[in-house]
Amino acid sequence: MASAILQWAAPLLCAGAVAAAVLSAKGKGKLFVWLGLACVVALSLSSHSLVLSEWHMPTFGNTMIHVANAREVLEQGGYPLWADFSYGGLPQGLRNTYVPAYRMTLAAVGFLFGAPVAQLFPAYALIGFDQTDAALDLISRFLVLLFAVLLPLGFFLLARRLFGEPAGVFAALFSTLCAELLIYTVRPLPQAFGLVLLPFAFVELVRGNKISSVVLALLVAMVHQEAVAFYAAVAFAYAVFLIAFENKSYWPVASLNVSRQAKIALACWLVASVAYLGWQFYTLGSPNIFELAQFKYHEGGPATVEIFLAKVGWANALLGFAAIGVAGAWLLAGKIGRRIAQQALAAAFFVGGLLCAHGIVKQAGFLPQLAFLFPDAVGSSSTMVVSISVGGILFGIACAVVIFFVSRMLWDVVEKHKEQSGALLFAVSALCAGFALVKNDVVGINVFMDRFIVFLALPLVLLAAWFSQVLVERLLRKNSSVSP
Amino acid sequence: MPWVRANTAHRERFMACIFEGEFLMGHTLRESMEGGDWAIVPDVVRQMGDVNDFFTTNESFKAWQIASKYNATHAWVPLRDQFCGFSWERASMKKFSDTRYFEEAFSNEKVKIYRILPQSSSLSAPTVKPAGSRGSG
Repeated sequence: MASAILQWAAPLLCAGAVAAAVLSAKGKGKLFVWLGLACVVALSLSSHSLVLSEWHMPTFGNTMIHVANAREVLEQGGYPLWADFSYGGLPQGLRNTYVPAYRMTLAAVGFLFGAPVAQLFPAYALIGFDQTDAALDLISRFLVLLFAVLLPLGFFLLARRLFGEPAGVFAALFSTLCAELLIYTVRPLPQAFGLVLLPFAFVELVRGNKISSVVLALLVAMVHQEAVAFYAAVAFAYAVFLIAFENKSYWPVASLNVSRQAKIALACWLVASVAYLGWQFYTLGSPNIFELAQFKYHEGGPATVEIFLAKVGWANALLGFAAIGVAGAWLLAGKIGRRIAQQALAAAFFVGGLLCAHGIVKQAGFLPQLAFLFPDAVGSSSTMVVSISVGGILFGIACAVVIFFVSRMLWDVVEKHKEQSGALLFAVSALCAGFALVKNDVVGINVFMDRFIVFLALPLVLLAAWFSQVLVERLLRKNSSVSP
Repeated sequence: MPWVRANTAHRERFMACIFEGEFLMGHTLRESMEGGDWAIVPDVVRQMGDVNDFFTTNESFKAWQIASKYNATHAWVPLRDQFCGFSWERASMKKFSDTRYFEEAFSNEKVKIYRILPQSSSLSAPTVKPAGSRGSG
């Protein structure tokens, strides 16, 4: 019954959020912004409510390691810093290298609210759960529901800060629709906490608030390993991009103009990196992360185009990449000239269109629809390959042409958002950092490649939201120009 | 779980596969030879192979040797398929009936827990024939 209601409610909530974003772009007031956000939060809560029946135990994702550490704090009165539970850890003297903030949060909430909450659910005793079991089980699930509220809220605040309120509502919606973000936030894990914290940490970074940026950088470092890798990479890339765009010449280095914003980004990069490596040095006695089994055995798989598109979703990928093209060309136009920038944009869209076509053809089995173009191909594997390739190229050209003309149409609207160049620089920095982490196999590191895609979703969601806002503004302007 | 808490010590070691091991550590603060953060474990793949062999072998002596190597005192054996890092498989139960090495300590419709017996002087390794090869039930 509940799932049937959700099936009907989900499209309505999406439509409500889009309508609210459009009305907000029309300048109809803040009420619609909050209504749109309410729709998205309801949608996020409905998808994350899966945690009420799943994903605490059993689970893929090692939720119970973290529960064990929180339980040790509650029952034994200390964090097991020198004795990990993993793989028979204590006699082997395995040090507990995992950053502790999520576990300590779980223990703290368990300590404060565990007993009274557990007493409200006596059914736990019937399945052999003691009070600590019940408390940690309930609190883990509650944290996921809290993440469900905070995730779209964080994306809303970040996109609103960068681009404006309509983009904020779009970003909240896109973050809720991104499959990979749901997969990693629907289970009670440090990664969920890290993913939820990231947009808030970036809001403070973009605001240029020194103290809160550094505190949040530190917090991300103590919550999750991959989240801090992404955070540090973004902060560093943002600083580099800012310095690159704020200077006409880069030599001598001492004469470079480094803005306050760039200095804060560099400070956050440094704090996040030193905090994480410092923690590892403290617990392992070595800052060399390449000694970890994750690096040694190359945990994670390579990120192919199909995997990438499946994980971030078609809407985020297409809108995000379209936005990258426009934003990149627009940012470069001041440096290399508008004409060359637009030609580069056309080339980028052509390549992007080809990649999308490649993904569609492989993933969705496009061949039957293309078979009429190559009737001889059916039944012959070699000519089938040709038909897929040629069909893919044709489709790529079609994608490129359509998106290019749409973006040309939007160019003048984009130019009216000159004040957003810093915001776009941030989004592009996050995108470059995300790509560098996802494609770390290019430099031979080969670790967590596909698992970094969820972090790459953050800039794609932001850019997709910005592009949607620009599109809506253009359509509204066209409508208003024909009206008397 | 209540049985484990009542009859074993804090941090006592179990032979268990990944999910059962994490279940044990989360609910009872006992340790398992599999499950948890593999990033910090030296030679982790060999250890996973050993645990997998422990559950899949029919030879009681071989299984007992593996458990002894890791100083495990109990084995947690679910009566369904389990995952030790290689494939989903049901544990081979035959070896656990060899009472020289294993003793059933707890049983219900979902799981059996076996106590891994300490080595007896009359059962030194070279003279013991694997239970599986003798066909003992």
